[in-house]
Amino acid sequence: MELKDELGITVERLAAAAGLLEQAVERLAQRQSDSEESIGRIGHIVATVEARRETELEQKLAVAEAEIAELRAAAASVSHTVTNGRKTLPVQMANLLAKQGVTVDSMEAGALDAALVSLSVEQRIAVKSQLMRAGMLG
Amino acid sequence: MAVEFPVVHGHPNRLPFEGVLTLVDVPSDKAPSGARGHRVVLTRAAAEAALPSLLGMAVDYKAGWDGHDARQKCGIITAAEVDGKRLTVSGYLFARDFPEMESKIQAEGAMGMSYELADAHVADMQASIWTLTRATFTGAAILLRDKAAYRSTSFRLKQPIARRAALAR
Repeated sequence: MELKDELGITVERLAAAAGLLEQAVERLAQRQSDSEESIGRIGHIVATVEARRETELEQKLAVAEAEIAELRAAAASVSHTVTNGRKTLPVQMANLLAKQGVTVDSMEAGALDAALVSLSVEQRIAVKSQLMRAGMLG
Repeated sequence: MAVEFPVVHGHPNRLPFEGVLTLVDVPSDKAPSGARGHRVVLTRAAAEAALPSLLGMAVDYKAGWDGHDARQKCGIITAAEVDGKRLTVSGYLFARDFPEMESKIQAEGAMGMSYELADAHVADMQASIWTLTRATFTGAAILLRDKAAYRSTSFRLKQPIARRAALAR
C-alpha cells in the first residue's frame, strides 16, 4: 500500500513537472522563432554597457535552453510504440505506462483500468486525467 | 553638419563642449543596453544618414555617471560630423542649471559619451555582432568612459572654468 502511495505521488509530481516543462518549451520555441528573422528592428539601443541584471538573465536563459534541448533529445528517444507518434504526452508518463505494460496504441479505458487495477482510485484518476489532458484518452 | 546659434558673449548658461559620441564601422567594446547581449557596429552610411536626427537632440546624464536619464537633459547638440572612424559632436551644456557637472567633467579623460538610438535596423540578428544599417538618434549621454559601450568615446569642455571666470570679471 505504501509503495502504491509513493507511486501515485511520483506520478502526480511527474505529471506536474512535465506540464511545466511543456509550457516552458512552448515559450522558448516561440521566443526562438521570433528571433529567427534575418532582419530585425530594435526599438531602442543606448551605447551604455549592458546592465548586470540583463546579463544574468541572458545567462539563465542559455542554461534553460540547454536543459530544454536535453529534454527534447530525451523525448526523441522514446519509442514510437510508446507514444504512438504523439508528442503531447509527457515522456515520463509514457515511460511509466510502458513499465506497467500499457502502450498507447492499445489504450482504451477498459484496458487501462485493468492495467492500473493495483492502484488506488485516486491514483487511477490522476493517471487518467493526465492522459485526457494529453488527448490520448477519450 | 551644424545648426547656427547666434553668439551671445558671456552667456551664463551656455558652456560649449565637444566629444566623440561613438565610432563608425567599428564593433563596440561591449554590448550596448538593448542589444540583447550583442556587440554592435554602426555603419558609416547609417551614421551619416542619421546625422540630421542628432542635431537639436539633448545630452543628458544620470546620477552616478553610469548611464542615461533621458529626462535629465543638461545640454544640446548643435553640430555633428563623421571624422574618420569617429562621430564627433559639439554643443552647449546648461552650466548654470547644472553647476554640479562642471567639476566632474573637468577630470580630463574620465568622461565619455553614449548615444541613444531608436528604430535601429539590424542586418542579421543571428550574427554575433549586430550591424546597424539604419537608426535615428534620439539623444546622447555624458557618462564615465568605462561605462560606455565604446571605450574610445570622450567628452570635454571647450572653455575651461578658469577662462570663463576671467571672462566673467
